[in-house]
Amino acid sequence: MTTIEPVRQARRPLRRLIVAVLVVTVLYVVAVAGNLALVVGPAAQRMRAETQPVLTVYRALIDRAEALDAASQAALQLVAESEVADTAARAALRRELRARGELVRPQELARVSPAMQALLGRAADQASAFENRLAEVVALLDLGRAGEASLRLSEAGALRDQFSRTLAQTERLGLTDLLRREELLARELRRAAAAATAGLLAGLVLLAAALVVLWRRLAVPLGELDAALSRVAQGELETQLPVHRDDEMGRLSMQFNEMTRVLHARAEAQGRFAAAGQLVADVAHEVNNPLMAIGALTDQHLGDQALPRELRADLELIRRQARRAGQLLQGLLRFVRSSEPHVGPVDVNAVLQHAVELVAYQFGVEEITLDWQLDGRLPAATGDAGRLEQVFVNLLSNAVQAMRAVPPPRRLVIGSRRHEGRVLVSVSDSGPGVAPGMRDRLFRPFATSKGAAGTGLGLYISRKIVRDLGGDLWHEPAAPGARFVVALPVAEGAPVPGPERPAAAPVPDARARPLAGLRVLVIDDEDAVRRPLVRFLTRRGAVVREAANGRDGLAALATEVPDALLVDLRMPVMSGLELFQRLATTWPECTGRVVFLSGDISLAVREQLPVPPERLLLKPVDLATVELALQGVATARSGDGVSGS
Amino acid sequence: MSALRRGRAVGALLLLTVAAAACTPGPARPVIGLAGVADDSVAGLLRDVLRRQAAGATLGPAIGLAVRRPVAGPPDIETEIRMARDLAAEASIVAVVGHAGRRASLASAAVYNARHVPQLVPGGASRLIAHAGAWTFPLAPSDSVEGRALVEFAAGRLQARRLAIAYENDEYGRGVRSGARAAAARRRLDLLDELPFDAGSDLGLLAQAMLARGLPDVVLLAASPRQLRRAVDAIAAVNPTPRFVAAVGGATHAALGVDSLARPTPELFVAAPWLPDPGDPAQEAFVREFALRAGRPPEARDAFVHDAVQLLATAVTTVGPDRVRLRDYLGSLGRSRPAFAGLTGPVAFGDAARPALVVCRVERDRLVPVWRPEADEAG
Repeated sequence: MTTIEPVRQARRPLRRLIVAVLVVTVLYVVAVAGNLALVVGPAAQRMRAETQPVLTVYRALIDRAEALDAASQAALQLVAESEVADTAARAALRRELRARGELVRPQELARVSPAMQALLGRAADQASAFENRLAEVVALLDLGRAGEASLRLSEAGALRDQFSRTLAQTERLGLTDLLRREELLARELRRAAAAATAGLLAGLVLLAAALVVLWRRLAVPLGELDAALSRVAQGELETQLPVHRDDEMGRLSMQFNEMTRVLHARAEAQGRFAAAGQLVADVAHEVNNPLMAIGALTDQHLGDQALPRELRADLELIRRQARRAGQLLQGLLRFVRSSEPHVGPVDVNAVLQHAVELVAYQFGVEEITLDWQLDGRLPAATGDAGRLEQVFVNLLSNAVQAMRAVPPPRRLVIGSRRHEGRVLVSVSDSGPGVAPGMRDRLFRPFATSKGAAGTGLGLYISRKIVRDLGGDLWHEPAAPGARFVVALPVAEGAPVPGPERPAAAPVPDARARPLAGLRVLVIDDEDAVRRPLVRFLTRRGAVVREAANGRDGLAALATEVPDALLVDLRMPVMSGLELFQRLATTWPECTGRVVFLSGDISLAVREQLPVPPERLLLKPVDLATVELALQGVATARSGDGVSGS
Repeated sequence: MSALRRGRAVGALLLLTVAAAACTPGPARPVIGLAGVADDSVAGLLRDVLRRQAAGATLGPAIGLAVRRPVAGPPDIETEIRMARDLAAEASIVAVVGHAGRRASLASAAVYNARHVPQLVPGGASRLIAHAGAWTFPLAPSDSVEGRALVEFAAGRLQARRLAIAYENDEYGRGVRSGARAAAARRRLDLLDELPFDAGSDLGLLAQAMLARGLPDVVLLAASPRQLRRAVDAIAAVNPTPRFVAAVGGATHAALGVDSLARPTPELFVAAPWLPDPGDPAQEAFVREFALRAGRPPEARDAFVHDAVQLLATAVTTVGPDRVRLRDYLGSLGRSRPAFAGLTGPVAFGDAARPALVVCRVERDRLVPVWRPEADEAG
């Protein structure tokens, strides 16, 4: 498998494109808003600033006109009541006349048109002249010359009329001025509206262009990726994507292609592995029968007390080697069947030993020294023995492969200990260690330093298994080599597993007849297995009949129902399982008398057999164990009050 | 291309460059606009002043004058504004000195402030001109300052306690009245009457009524020299007792004829924004030259025009003909820069300005300085 290196310093044109689109969008919005603010805003402000003085000026004129009218009325009243008007009233009018200030403030004056300024000047002069005449009226009244005051007031009225005419002129001028300014503002608004419309059109064109570009650069590749992912989900692992550009999407497509290529290769490898597993199971079954035969025959002959010493030693050697071969086969079977989960208290040391047994054949060839540093009082851990064995085998295989890179002597240290509520298992090797550049990616999928020889999934899957079990797996640099640590939670309350002892292999006493009178039907297609079993059981006192398959067994049952049935699971014509199912319908009382034998008992088969575990005997099995199982059946029957004879 | 041809091409290019540079018009000569404040004779005098100043300066461009003659007849605001717009539109105009009259100055100030042209107002300054904008710089004290000075003099020097004011009812008269009213209130003086009048007023009637209401110690007057004469005559005809303190808008010499009336007049004082100091050779030379050219003695406004032109020439020499820099230069006088030493005294603007008023007694054909605000305040 190929290692997929992370792309460093990769070009990011797509990201730049998106940023550019965003920047252009922001600039566009700012430009449109700015255009409106800069064109309409100042025009409106100018309109307001220029209109305000006109209105202020006009309001001032109105105020002055009203004040002049009031003064005129007061003077008229004084003239009319000159006989009775007191000095205070005249003084009040004088004060009223004196209170007049400037008509318009210079700030407002400066902002109105010259023509209006001229009119204002004229209005101010007329207002002043009118006030001057009123002052004369008051003077005449003060001097008691009411008649002249009346005449002077009439003259003042003419000035008041002039002021009114000027006021009207100013009003017309102001209105014209306001209309002119309004027209200017309207023109600015039309300009702004045209600019905004042009801007919006440009924006729409820009947006459309950006959408087209983004569609081609982003949406199209994403659609292809979506479709490709769907095809992969449907199992088309050979799916490949076209790489359009050297951008992020292009690199994503390339990585997708690499991923599917790896997945495809991995699937092929897994297929081969599954086939190999099935082959192992089949071979194990086929090899277990001869091993069973060898073991049974040697057991049988070893029971002969007259056996020459040298021959006995040879037979014991044969029996040990057969048992070893059987154990190796059991380990292989366990390993290939390990996909069936079973979480519970696990003796981690035992699992380690099983794992080592699977890979130990390499130690001698590779000149590897194994150093056990196991804690004899290690508590049980929570886990799945099969999956943990897979993890440990993976770590051990990695260690062995790593140490090939260094010359002997090579040392493998396997340790276990309890630490802070966890069971820690360490696998240390004396290899070259993990390269620094690899450490960060060690547990990523498809990361491998073995080139085409590695899948890059071993450590990834191992850590996933351990984490699923509530533990963790990590790497620690060691000097020299590498060290991997598996941490598992302690199974609280579970008994501390004792040291694993090799199964006792007693040779039955040839003179004893513990199965005396027990009617046993042995059903096995392998003559080499069936024959020593029959001979052994007969010698142990049992009344034994035999059949080569399930159908013959059923036929034998028709003539006589045995006290116990020793049934092989995998047989031609009718398997042990089918036989059991027929028994359940025809002779249900016989189902409790069955002891199964098999070279491979998977969990699925085990779940279909409603018999206790001690009645499932895995080949090769000692004859003593067979005898014990049959004794158990007999005991159970006697416990039920059924006689064996 | 051969080396010879290349050499010819480079030579032709250089020649073209030199020719183009020669044909390109140089920077326009900076020009000061004179708007309605100088006739030809005064303008000639000012040109001589500029010439002498340029000859004495080591640096700086020659400065021209653009003269817009005074408008004949009553002030026409539209004409003044048109004049201001024309001046402001000329790129070579760096600043304007003008206009004549308060209303014209105010109206034109709007133009200059809108077009960003520095405007120096040489005389007849309304108190409102201070609010015209950042580009307007009045040289003369405002009308309200004059009004205040009249009251200070009447109360301080003449020991008056009862005052009356007769004013020509225009912007200037109302400005003087406002300043006088405020100063009288501050000094707790009795302001018996405020009498507005104009050319059409029956001043005899008004004087009779005013004096009937109470006899003031001093009558304050604010009017043009012509109306001043009428007012003094009318009041003195009713009662010669009060003394007169008058503001005549800087037209001090025009007021000299007031005491040439047939009947004897009481004491008359006029406030002048500037009066030539006979002991000052520069002022004496200016007065002499001005009288020679214009055929009359210089009024305060003429001296302010002289100072304004000289100040602008100095400013252009110092900061260049840029209008913004000139405005900043003028604004910095009396603050970050020392006040300009003019004929009329130190010239500065705004808060830094020092009112250079002097009150004179009118004695037939001459004016005798009798009081300055600073001296009185110091004493």
